[in-house]
Amino acid sequence: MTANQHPQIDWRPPADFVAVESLLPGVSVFAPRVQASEPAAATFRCPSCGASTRFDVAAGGVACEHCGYVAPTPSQAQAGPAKRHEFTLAALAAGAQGWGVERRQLHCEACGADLALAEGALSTTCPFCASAQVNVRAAAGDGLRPGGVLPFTVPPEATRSKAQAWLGKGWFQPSELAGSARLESFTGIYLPFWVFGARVDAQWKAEVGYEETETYLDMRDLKQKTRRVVRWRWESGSAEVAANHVPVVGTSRVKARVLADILPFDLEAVKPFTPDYLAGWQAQGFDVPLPTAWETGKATLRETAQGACRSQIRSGHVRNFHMTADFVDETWRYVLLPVYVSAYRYQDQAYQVMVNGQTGVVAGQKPIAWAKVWAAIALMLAPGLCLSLIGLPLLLAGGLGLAPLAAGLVLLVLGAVGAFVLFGRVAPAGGDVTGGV
Amino acid sequence: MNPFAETQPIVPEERLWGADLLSVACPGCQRGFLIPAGALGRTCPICGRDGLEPRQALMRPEPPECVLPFRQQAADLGGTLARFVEGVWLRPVDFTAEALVRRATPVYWPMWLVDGRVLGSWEAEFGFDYQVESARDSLTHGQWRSEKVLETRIRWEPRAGQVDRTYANVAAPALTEQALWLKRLGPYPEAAAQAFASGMPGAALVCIPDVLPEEAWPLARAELDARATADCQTAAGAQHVRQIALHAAYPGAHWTQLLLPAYVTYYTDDAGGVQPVWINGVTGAVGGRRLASPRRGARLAGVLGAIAVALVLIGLVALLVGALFPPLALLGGLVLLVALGVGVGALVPAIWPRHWNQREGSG
Repeated sequence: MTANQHPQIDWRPPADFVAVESLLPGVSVFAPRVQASEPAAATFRCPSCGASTRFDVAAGGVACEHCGYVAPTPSQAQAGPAKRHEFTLAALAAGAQGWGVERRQLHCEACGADLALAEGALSTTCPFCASAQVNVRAAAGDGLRPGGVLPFTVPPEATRSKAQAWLGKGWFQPSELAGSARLESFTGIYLPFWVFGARVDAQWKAEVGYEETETYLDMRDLKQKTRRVVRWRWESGSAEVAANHVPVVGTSRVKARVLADILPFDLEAVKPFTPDYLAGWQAQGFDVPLPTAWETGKATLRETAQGACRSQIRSGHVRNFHMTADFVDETWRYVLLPVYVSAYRYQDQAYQVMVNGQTGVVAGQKPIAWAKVWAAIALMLAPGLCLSLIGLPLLLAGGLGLAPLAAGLVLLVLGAVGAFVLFGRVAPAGGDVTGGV
Repeated sequence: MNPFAETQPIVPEERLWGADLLSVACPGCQRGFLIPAGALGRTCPICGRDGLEPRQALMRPEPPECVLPFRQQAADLGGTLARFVEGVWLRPVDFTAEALVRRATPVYWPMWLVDGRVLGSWEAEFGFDYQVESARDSLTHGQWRSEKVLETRIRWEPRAGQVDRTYANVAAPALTEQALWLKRLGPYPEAAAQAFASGMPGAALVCIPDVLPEEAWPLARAELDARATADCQTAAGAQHVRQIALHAAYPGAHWTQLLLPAYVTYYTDDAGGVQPVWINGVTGAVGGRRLASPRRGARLAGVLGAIAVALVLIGLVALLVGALFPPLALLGGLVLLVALGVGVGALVPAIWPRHWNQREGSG
C-alpha cells in the first residue's frame, strides 16, 4: 500500500521516512531512513588540476600537493564523539568474522582499474593513476566499519628527528647507535583499535588481618611480655568503576609491546569517521575479532575494579579475597588511531620503531649492549660482595667482622634484586629492548 | 456519512422481527421488553413488579443478526441455584432455591455489534526488543571466571503509516446496565452465536436497548481504534508501544444486535426489597447479591441471650445453695461460665448478617 492508495485521505509520510516491510495487510509502515549500508569506495583527485590528493596534517584537510588546493574535511564541522555500540548478539557475531575476503578487491573510480588490496588494508594508492583510494565497506554490517578516526597531528617531517633523538637515549644500547643506524622512512598508518566503555559494579569479601600488640606471660621466665599478632576478620565492600576509553589494539600485525609503549592516545579527540582522513595514508582493518578484544578489555576493567576494591582494605594482610564484577552499560567503538611505523638496520639486524601520530611519543626495539648490562650488574653486586669478603675473615679472626658481614649480605641481596630487575627489563624478548620517549 | 441506521418508534401492536412480539415496559423500573403476544401482565423479571404494560419503544426495526441460544434448561436450574443459596447463613425466608427457580424468567439481553472500517493514518513510537550480551565475572582463589548474561533491551523508534482495516462484530453496550450484567453473568462464548431466525426468542423476554447506536458509538469507536492501533503495532513488528496517534475515518459502519441468553429471578430481603439474581443461559454462572437476614440474626441473638440470662440465674441460685452444700457452688460456677459463653455467642448472629451484607454490597 502506498500513500496514494487512499485518495480520500491526504497523507504523506514524514520527511526522511521510507516504507518498510509490513507484517499485516492493510497497514503500511514507514520508518526513518537509515544510511546506505554499502558506501561507495572513495577516490581522491584534485578538482582543480586532477592530480592525486591526500590528507594534509598541517592543512587539516585533503590537499593537492601540486596546485595547493585544500578541501575542507567534512567531519571538521561535526561535533561529538564516534558512535558507541552495544554488545548486541548480532554485533558480536559480525565482529567475530573479521574483515571479509570479498572486500579485498577495489575498483578505481578514477581510471577503472581493479586493484587488489593488501589483506586487512582499508586504503591504497592506484598504481595506474596514483589516485588515493579508501575502501571502508565492511564485510559484516554497518557497525563494523570504522566509527571514528583520530587524525594525524604529528607531520611526517617531524618523525625522523624524533626517532633519531630517541635512538640516542638509553644506557644499555650501543653508543654508536644513533650515528650508525640506518633509519628508513616512516609510513603513516591508521591502526584499528577497539575502544570499550563500561561500568563495573564490584562486590568484594575477604579476610583482613589487623596487627595488634598483646601482652602474654612467658612461662619460661614468668615475665609479662608483649608481641605482635594478626587478628583476622571477614570484611566486605563494594566499588563502582566506570571507564569510557579502554583501548585494545585490533590488529596482530604490529608488535604489541612496542605499541603499548606509545600509548596513550587522547581518545576524547576521536572524530566521526570520514574517508578524507585516510586519503593518501595507509589504514589497516581489524583482524582481532571483537569478542577476543572484549575479553582483553574486560580483563583491564576487572583489574581496575579489583584495585579499587583492594584500596578499600586498610591492611596489608589479606587472604581469601573474593569479588564479583557485574558489567553494566558496556559499549564498544571501532576507531582508527594514527601511528608512524618505520624500521632501521643496525649490524644487519632490523628493528621496528613507532611514533604516536597524535602525541609524538616514540618507542621501538633497540639492540642491547650486553657489555654495559653485565657491567651494571657487576656494579650492583660488587659492594655487597666486597663487604662480605672483608667481614668474613675478620669474623673468623677475632669476631669483629659481624657488622660488615651482615651489611655486606644485605647489600648483596639488594644488588641481586636490582640485577634481576635490570635483566628482566632489558632482555624480555630475545635480547631486543623497547622503550618509549 | 452517518454510520447509524435509523431508529424509529415501535408501537406496541406492531408485528416485529417476523413474530408477534409486543413492546412493553415495567411501570416500576421502566425497563422495556419485547414479550410474546398474549403474555401481557407478566411480572418484571428484574424488579419483580407485576403487570408489564404495553408502551411505545424507540428501537431499530430490523431483527438482530445473531442469537446465542440457551443451553441451560429452566428445569436444571435447581441445583445451580441451591449451591448459590447454600453458602449464606441466616438468609432471608424468601431466599431459597425453590423460590428462585419458580421466578426464573428467560431473558435475551442485547449487545450492539459493529462491523466497521478504520481508514486513516497513524504515528507511533514503538519499542523493539533486542538482546545484548553482558557479563558477570567472579574472582575466586585468584582465578577469574566469567559468566555470560543476556539482557533484553528495548529500542524505541518512530514509525508512521496508513491503515485500512475492517473489523467485524465489535461489541458495544446496548444496555446502560451492561457492565453490571456482564459482571453478574460472566463471559459468553460469543463464537457459538447463531443467525437470528423468526420466532427464536420463543417464550423468553427480550430486553429493549436503552442505549442507542449514537450513544454507543464513542465506545465502539474506542474499541475500533484499539484494534487498529494493535494492528499497526503488529504490522511494524513491535513488541512495545509508548505512544500512538491514530487519525481515522470510519466509513460504512454497520450496526446489528446480538442477543445473549440469561435467566433472571429475584428474592425479597428483610426490608421487602427485590434482589435480582442472574443466571448465564449458556454457562450457568450465577450472579447477584446474596444477602443475609439481620432480622433472623437478631431473633437468634435474642434466643441465645435469653438462654444466657436463664443460665446466669440458675448459676447464681446454685452459688447461694452452695453456701450450704459446697459441691453445688462448683456447679454454679460452671453454669455461670457457660452462661458467659452463650451470652458472648449471642453477639455473633446479631453482628454477622450486617457484616456479610456489607461485604456483598461492596462486592
